[in-house]
Amino acid sequence: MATVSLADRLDHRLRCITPGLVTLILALVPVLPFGWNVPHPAVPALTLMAAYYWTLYRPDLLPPAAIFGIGIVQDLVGGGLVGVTALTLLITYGALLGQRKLFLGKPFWLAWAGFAVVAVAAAGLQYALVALLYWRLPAADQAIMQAATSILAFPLLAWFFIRTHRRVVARV
Amino acid sequence: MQNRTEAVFRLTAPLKLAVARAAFTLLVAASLGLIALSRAEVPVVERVRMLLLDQLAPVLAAVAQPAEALDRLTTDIRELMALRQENHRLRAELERLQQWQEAALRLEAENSSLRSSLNVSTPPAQRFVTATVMADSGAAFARQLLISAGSAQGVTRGAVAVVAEGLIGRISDVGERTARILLLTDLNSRLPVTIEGSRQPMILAGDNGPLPRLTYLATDASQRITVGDRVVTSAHGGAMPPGLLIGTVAEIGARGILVRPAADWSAAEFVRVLDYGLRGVLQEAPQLAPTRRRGG
Repeated sequence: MATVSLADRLDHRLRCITPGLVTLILALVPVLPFGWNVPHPAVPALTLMAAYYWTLYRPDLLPPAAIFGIGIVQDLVGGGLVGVTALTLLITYGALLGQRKLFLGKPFWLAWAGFAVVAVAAAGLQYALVALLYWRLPAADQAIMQAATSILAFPLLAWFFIRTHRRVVARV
Repeated sequence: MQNRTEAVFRLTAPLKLAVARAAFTLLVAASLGLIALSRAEVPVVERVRMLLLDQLAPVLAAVAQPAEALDRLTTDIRELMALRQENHRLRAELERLQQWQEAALRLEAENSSLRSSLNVSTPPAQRFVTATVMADSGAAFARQLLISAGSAQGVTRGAVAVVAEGLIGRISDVGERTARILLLTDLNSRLPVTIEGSRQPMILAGDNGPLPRLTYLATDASQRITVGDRVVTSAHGGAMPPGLLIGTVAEIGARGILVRPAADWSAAEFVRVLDYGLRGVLQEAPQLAPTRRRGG
């Protein structure tokens, strides 16, 4: 039986928590003061992409508890109702977990199309929640805008996730 | 050995699955519970939020530095290229403004003499804090700004936030070093306003879109409003000083009377938080948990 050194174990732990850490950083990106002058609804739903990707390809590395925590942090920092993002991400996880076979080993465009459905559904869910809880119809353009930019930006983020997956996470 | 691990796995796998299912359900329930608490505006939620933002403030400031430097460089280059043209424009504007200054001085003198003859009581003096904008809200369903001043700098809940062009919103949450501005376009923003020159009270209600809407106005008042009218704050409710510019009427149509805010906060680096000591109907959140600094 091979002995496992402390460095190896540390290395293993770090690789395991990488998806969670990356997603946590993505949760903070929308509030970072980049001075981009972009109207804010245009910022894509980055954590949704991360939850989508990791649930499909390595659900063991981004468990529901981590998804919940990251969603709460994003809600607390970003403003708005606390728990909405957490709920959206958890539902995404729950809905996708059983559908993984549909996507594994299939071409990229299928994952992209799947994400498009998820992005639209997530925007719809959040819109409905806010409308229901405040009993008023908020402007819909931002929900549409965020879903659109999310879908457009998905390949870029997916490329980044795939690289992280192959370089850091593949061995655990 | 191999068989035994397999047997153990076969026994524990359904158990693990059940635990995972229960945990998932619990987390969804927790999210729903938090949403309900947050909607009910339980003070603890806001306190945790401001605590977290206070901790995050130095990180945001550190990240902002290189971005700001880059931003400044591009602005410098653009300004250098337009220098001659800008100079010409400024000369023309200076001339125009000098005429205005004349008019303003004349009016000020007239105003003060009228005030003294009528013995008008002036509104309370204002105190202000200038703060840098740290972050725009990242949430798709909230219109908020995070600023780098909090209770330590004397920012209070309900204070009015302005940029050079006009009012942008009110302070909704205060941390120790940070505060949040609820922008006037936010779904939850309701400001007492009036049309400049009229005495009709109305409410400016945000809906998260770019143009907030005038509501609660009398029918005869709405008929007299035309596109281009200036919308200013009203002293009704005792929450705000009267006469601060908010914007102009942009559209009168099926969606109601829409107002274009005068201030553009998307590019604002600094905001001023004015405190007139007016609390209006806004109540301080009741203290549920002991504050951190008790006795300290």
